[in-house]
Amino acid sequence: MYNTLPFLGLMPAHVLIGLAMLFFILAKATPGLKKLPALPIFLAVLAVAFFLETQGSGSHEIFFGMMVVDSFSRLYDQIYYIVSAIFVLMMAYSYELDRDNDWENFALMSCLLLGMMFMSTAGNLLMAVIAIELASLPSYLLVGLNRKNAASKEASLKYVLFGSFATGVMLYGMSLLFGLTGALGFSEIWNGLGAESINQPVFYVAIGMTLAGMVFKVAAVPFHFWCPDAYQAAPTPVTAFLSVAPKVAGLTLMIRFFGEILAVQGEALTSMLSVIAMVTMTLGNFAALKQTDLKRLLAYSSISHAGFLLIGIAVLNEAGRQAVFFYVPIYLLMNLGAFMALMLLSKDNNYELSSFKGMIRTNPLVVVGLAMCVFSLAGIPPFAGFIGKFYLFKVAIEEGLYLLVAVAGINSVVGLYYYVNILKTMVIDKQEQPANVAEAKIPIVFVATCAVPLVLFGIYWVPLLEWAGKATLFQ
Amino acid sequence: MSHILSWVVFLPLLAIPALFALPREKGKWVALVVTLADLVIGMPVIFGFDRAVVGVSDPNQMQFVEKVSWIPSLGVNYNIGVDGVSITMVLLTLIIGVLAVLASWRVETFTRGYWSMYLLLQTAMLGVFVSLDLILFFFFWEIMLFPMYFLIGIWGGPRRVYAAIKFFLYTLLGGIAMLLCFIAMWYYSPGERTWDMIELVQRVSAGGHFDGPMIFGIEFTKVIFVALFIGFAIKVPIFPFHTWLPDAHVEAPTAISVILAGVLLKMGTYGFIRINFTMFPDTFMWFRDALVVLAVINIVYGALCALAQTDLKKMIAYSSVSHMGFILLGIAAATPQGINGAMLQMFNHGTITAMLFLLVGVVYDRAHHRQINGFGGLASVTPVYAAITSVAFMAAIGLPGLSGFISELLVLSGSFKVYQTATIISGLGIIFGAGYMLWAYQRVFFGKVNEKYQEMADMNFVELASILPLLVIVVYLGIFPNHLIVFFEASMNHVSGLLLR
Repeated sequence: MYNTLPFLGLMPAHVLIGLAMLFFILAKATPGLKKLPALPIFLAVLAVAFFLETQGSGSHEIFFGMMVVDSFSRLYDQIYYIVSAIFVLMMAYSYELDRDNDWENFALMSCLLLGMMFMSTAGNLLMAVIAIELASLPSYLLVGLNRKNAASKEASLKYVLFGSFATGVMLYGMSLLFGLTGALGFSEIWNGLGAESINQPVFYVAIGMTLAGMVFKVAAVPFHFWCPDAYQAAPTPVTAFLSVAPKVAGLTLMIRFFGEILAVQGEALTSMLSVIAMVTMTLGNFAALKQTDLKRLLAYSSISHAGFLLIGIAVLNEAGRQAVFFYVPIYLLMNLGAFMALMLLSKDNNYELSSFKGMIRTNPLVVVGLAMCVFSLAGIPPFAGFIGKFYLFKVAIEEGLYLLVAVAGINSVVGLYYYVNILKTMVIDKQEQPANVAEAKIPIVFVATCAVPLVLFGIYWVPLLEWAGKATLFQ
Repeated sequence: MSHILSWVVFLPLLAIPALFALPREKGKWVALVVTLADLVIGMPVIFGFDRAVVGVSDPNQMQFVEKVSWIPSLGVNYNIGVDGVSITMVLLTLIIGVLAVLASWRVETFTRGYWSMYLLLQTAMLGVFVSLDLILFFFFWEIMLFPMYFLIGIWGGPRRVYAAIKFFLYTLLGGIAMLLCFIAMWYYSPGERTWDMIELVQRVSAGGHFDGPMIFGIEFTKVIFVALFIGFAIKVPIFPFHTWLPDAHVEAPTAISVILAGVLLKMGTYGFIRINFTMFPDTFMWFRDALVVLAVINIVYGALCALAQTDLKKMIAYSSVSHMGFILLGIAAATPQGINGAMLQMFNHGTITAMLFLLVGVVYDRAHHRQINGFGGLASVTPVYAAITSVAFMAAIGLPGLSGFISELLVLSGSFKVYQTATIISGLGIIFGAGYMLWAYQRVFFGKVNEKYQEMADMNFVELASILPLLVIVVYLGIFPNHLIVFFEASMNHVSGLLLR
């Protein structure tokens, strides 16, 4: 039964595969090709893929249910393109990378992007594993991109080990599920498990282990250990990218996976996921309190944000999915904006908090932009981060998850301390050493493009709501 | 001029670009002109306000209402308006806003930052008092936090960083508790879901209930009531959530102390009246005894703490804690007298304490310390200053003829009908109040002249201009309290009726 639908539905993916081929193989085969500017090519192809996504319609099961292309995946794919575009632009302004390997970097980037796209289209656990690996392998390499930095290599290796372990656990969980139900498609699994299974321990063991791979990508507890090291040692643009895109992809995979559950299974899964959410946000927050390295601090803060996003997953309903989708663009803007500002302010790759003292005297605009992003991360109105949290709180209260809500509320207050501490250092403390003055105008424009929408969306978020409304599953 | 209330609220915010367009040293003039203009365009609201209309629990009786749909899918509206509960608070905010500009006339570092934060704060405070939508209320409530953090943190005293973050964390904790309650209240609204505060009060007074499930095995309304109470109590502040206040006051620059004591603390008690108590009258009756106990603790404990202080500002901060206790006592008693007294006390405490902080600022600018024992005999060196301070201190004690007396009398006579013992103990608080105020006055102004301050200059024009208007208000309201009471009497009597129903 051959039809053309698979190719049309996956058109953007094909475009990106072509891109990866170009960067990997054609560039090696034809040496003259490397003289072409990689950045514009990459951006142009992203724009084409973005356009193709906006043209797609309907929900298509392709490759025998291995993948599902629908409005949900199309919207998240668009987000990945935007993040990737910002990422490559950040790379262009970073001093931490050697320029010679641009083509390889872009090739890795294309594969990573493909992996994330497959994560949000997967309809089968096998596809999920392939997608996770496809996204993970380039990530390992990107963390180690800075070849002269020993810490970078160490972090990359740690990341590899953790990733392999997580995948191993996930495969074991999958084998249990396959043994129980004889299937690996999401809906077949839940139907096969049936209603009685929720009383049996093996249900929780199997589901929990299968979650490992996704939790690893989201960087939620207990698979978060790679996160601080990798974030600290990786080049800053890579850190910014890893803190946003793969996390979102992991969440979409979770949404897909839990999208097919039977109603009776809901309560047990909700309590399981809310425990993960609570532990993740609490651990991330309290660990962040003690950090003095800003990249490490933001790494822990991103762990705690993963915990918040898991609230939207844990409620297991449409409102929750929308709340997650609503939070994602906001989270993306504020996190990328914060990393971008830090990259501009830092000197000699030093991200110690103390080296940022009194930065507002020399770089007022960048620090004000950073302040907006940081207040947004902390969830203070009128910045958009508050609205994102508001919707997550709302769905949890509607489901009556009061313990989760209380824990999340206390965590918001705890989080404020370390966020404000960053601003205290930059705004209140006296300057000790002559600071790096960000002279380039364009990066400041980047920070502004992240910070200004945060205020606008914080005050009037109807456009975002309309966008999130389209992310209803399977349309 | 149909959008006059919006203009009053947002005028300070709109002026912020002017700060960056004009030279740095013009900042204070911009702020002065803007706050004065705000006071002027606020006058039609104050005098055009129909005092006989009750408001409180009837959306159609709110005045100067502006209602625009904001987030339709969520049912959130930009909904502002005033009634007797908020009109005096708007007036207070407008007046303090102008005078605190004068108090910060000497700010010289980062003036643009200072004034933009100041104007943002002014908009947020006015917004809190006019919001009729829970989400809008919360927005303004929280927007206040970060300007306040920077105002204390950058322009404050030696321990400013600690004080600022303590203030921020405490109030955010209260804010989050409030937000979660608001969402739950919206979801389980009596009738159709709504964020409209007045609508909610109306439905509750018509017999509606917030019909939520048990939370942690406790009744829904009780959990929400207590969580809301904590949210507002942190701002008031009510024992045991008061510890941020002395720190914030001591470290904040004079003008910010004035705003903090004059306006910010009132938001907590305003929230009690507008949201917490009127929306849960049954739970209020259940919690009422505890409220009275907390009020008495505030009054007596605050006064005792004030007695023990050696720092003038800290003493006044604790006297604030004590005086805010009277407001809570009046609301808890909920008799018409008590609750009108509480409202009057909210205004009077705003003016009197603002005056006290301004006066401390005067002496601090000259001596660069505030130790009560570090002065002596100032009465002969700076007679004008001594005279004005004596009036302010007497007003704080509650001397008849000055405004503080009337409101405390109303509160006590109102609560005596319901809680005799508590009222008698609170009366002791007034005696302690006289104790610490007079003792401090004696140590600063009488006795042997301190050699160091023999040449101290008396008050200058700007300082007089910032304090005299408040002095006039305090004396005037001491003699004609009814000229202010008429603004809120109808509304507050109605609130009393709602609570005691």
